[in-house]
Amino acid sequence: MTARAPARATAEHTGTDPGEPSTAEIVVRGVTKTFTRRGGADVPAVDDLDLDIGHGEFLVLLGPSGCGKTTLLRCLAGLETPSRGEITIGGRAVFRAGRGARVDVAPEARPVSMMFQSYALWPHMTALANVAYPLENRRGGRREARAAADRALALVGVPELAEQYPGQMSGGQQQRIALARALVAGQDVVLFDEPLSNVDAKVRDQLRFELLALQRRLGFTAVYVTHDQHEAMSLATRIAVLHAGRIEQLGTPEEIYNRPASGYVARFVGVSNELTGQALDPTTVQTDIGEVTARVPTALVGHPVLLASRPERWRIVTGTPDEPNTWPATVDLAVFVGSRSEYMLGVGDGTRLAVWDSGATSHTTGSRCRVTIDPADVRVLPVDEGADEGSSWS
Amino acid sequence: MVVTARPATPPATPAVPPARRGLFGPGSALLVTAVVALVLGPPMVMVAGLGSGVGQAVSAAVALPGLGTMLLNTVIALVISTGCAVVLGCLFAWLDERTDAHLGWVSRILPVVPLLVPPIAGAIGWALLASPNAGFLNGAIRAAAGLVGIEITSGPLDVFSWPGLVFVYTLYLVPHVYLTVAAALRNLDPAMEEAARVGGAGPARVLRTVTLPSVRPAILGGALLAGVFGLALYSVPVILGTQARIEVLAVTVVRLLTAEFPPRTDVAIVLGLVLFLAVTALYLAQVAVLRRSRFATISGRAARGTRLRLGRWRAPSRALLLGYLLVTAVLPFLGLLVVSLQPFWSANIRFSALQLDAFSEVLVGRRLTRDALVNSVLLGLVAATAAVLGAAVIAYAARTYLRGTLRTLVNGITKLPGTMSHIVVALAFVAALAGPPFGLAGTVMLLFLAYVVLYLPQASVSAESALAQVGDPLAEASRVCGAPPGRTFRRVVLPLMTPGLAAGWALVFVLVSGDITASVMLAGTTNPVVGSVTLDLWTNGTYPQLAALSVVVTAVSAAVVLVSMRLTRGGGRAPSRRRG
Repeated sequence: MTARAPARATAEHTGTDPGEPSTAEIVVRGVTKTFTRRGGADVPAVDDLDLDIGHGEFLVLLGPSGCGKTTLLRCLAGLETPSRGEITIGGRAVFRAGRGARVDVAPEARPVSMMFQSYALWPHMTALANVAYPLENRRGGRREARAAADRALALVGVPELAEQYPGQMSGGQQQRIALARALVAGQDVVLFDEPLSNVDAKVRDQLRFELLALQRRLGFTAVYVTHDQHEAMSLATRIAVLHAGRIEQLGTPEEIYNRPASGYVARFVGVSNELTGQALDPTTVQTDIGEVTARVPTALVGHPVLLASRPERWRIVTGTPDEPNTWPATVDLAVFVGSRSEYMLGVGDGTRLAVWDSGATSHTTGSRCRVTIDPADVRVLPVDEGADEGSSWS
Repeated sequence: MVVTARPATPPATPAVPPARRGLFGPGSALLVTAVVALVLGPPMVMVAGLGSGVGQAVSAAVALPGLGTMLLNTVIALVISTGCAVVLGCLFAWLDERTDAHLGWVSRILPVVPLLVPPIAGAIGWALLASPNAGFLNGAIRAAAGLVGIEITSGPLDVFSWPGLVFVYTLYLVPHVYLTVAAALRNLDPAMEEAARVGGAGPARVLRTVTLPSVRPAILGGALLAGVFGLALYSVPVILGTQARIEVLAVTVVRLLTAEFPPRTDVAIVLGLVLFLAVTALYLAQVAVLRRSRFATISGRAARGTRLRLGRWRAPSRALLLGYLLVTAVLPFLGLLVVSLQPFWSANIRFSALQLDAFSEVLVGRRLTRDALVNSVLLGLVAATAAVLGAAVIAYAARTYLRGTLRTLVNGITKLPGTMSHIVVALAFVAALAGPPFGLAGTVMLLFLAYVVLYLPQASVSAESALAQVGDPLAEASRVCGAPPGRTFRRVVLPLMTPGLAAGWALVFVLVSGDITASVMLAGTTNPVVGSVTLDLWTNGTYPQLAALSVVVTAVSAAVVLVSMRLTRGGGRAPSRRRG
């Protein structure tokens, strides 16, 4: 019924150019939020951040706890007041501090709605009253509000819960009520603060697909906070990976996974094998396990670099094919996890590699083999402070 | 099919609707201003009122006959009774939290004993029980001694003495120590003690080397809290100390203002400031100690350990716990009840002469007591409602609109009257509002304002904890759903705070309707309240009516406290009942 731009249409939109006026649904410019730690030191939770979110886009803010993703979301909702910067939603400034007249629109006057991590359903109201509440506030008309709330409950698949209190419901049911409440007023922007983190895995998968279908159908702009990379990959049109209050990388899920911009992103999204070394020339990196062939960006030639690679890109081979990037290895650990076999291999003098193979477990612990990777699957990155932790294994 | 009321085509530029500016913001700002003025204004006016006469007032205070003795009395009474209260309070807390002498209901009743039987009723009750000649306990002891051939004509107990005074002080200080120490023990991981037991230490050694040292900050904090309460306690020393010729600071201040003519207000203010400084010092020490204790005794989630089996000590331990409740609540109340049913007070109870004359006189016949009861109950209802609702609005407004230092300051000011003694607050109201330009002397309005200020800390503490239990996300969700602060407060926050506020309301009602310290200074014949009339009756020696009045007040207090405890526990269960 609503004519909206297809969600993917704005996915290419990456304009975070502070100088240019933007036509995006949500524009964040230079937003900084500092908290004062006990003892007086100011700690930036969000640090001079720019971000454009297109109309109908599903943007996921991804990062570990403390990276600033929830603070940024709460700044959009008006629940936190940034220290400085500017936030525009739907073409209207809702917050501005630092230059020009100060603007700080109250949460209730912003054209957004929000789904909370704890659901935040009011225990003294029925499901119907909870869902009708935003309409009563925004338009009045109790009867119409109740009718619309009834339809919203049907939309999220729980019309039978209308007269129940939150205390009588399961976690999954409460989440559906919270979702209905976030969608009922038809706001153009819906904010999600880790809304799926409190239910078990099966319910979470189900709700995730329903949420995605609803967003595509209703066409609202979604900003979604999570620390779960799997959730982020399956929901997002674009992912913003946050680190220490800044955007480390902004891109489609494929870009984030296959072309991580830093060791931090590579480590946080998926499992990453990491090797440190010295880039000798545009195709060679000298490491502990010998020379690795990879495409080295020009700027990194002659510098220490970090090599990141995905476990599923490695292959265990038998025989002695004379390919580049092949090393003899020892199987330190072999685990069959259902959809694949996971190996921990020892290469060279103490280097460990995680290698995933989609077949059955065909190599036993202690056996010897050879391991190889296509040079195109080795990502050459600048060294960052997390690099010394070595490869991760999950 | 899209079911929401979304327009078919999105507007070109989604307009942010102008924020609806409700009256809640300005209203709460006005309320905060009024409260700050009421809390800080009178003491400032009082101190400023001394003005140039301050030197004269101080020298008059120093020249008071018996000043040194009075101050020494105050120190002795407080140090000894606080010491006794610490020993008993710790023992009770340990028995109830850590041993199989534990009785579930005792741990709920013990902290509220001073509310069930207000100190004035307890003090009068003990006067009736243990005065040398007509005391019931003395009568019983003499009768028992007579049976074995020992003739005693007077005594042997005398509550109008140092031991008597310290005894009743101690009874009312114990709950303060118990409350803090029991809370600390509840948060102390029993595994620490179990580790000591496994390490080969006996129960007594564990208590001495592990348990008590772990809760030492709480013990010190409880002792200081008891000291603050004891220093400001007026009812017990005025009933028991006056007859024993032991005067303490609180009694002297009130006497200078009410019993001397013309009232020596300036001298009373100087002594009131001494009291204020002493209470403030103790209070600050307590805050400092408890703040440090947070770092000293934190354990994560308290796990329930096995209770220590006391064996043959279990029965005597329980008897001790029950004995405390007996001498603090049950016996004084029985003493009051018996006298209220007799034509006059005598050590020999005449069961043939039981009558309700005193009750009908107090409730119906005598105008003064009748008016006092009506005033006290009405003031209790109105002041409790005003204080609790006001505190709820202030707590929510402070959290919504204020940040950092300003929020701390506003929340701190609502607690400030708790750090002044009641006597000082009442004194300040006399100095600032009784005379011109306000001329509130002898009015119910003066009492109302004083009560609201006096018991604002209790209302504010319960409002803040009720608000904390509601939690931020529920209010934030309402804001994001388009409800401005006032509407959020009315529709979401206030309904959810109700159980906590109800408990706070009951507490303030009981404290106001049974108040004596402020009442004795602010009430007169035109605005009598229970507290002031009780003391009048005591002074005049009309014991049956005095006892009847105390019985009525105690019964009302106890009923309100017990019902509210019941409701609060029920309130906590309400959602699960719905769940059922």
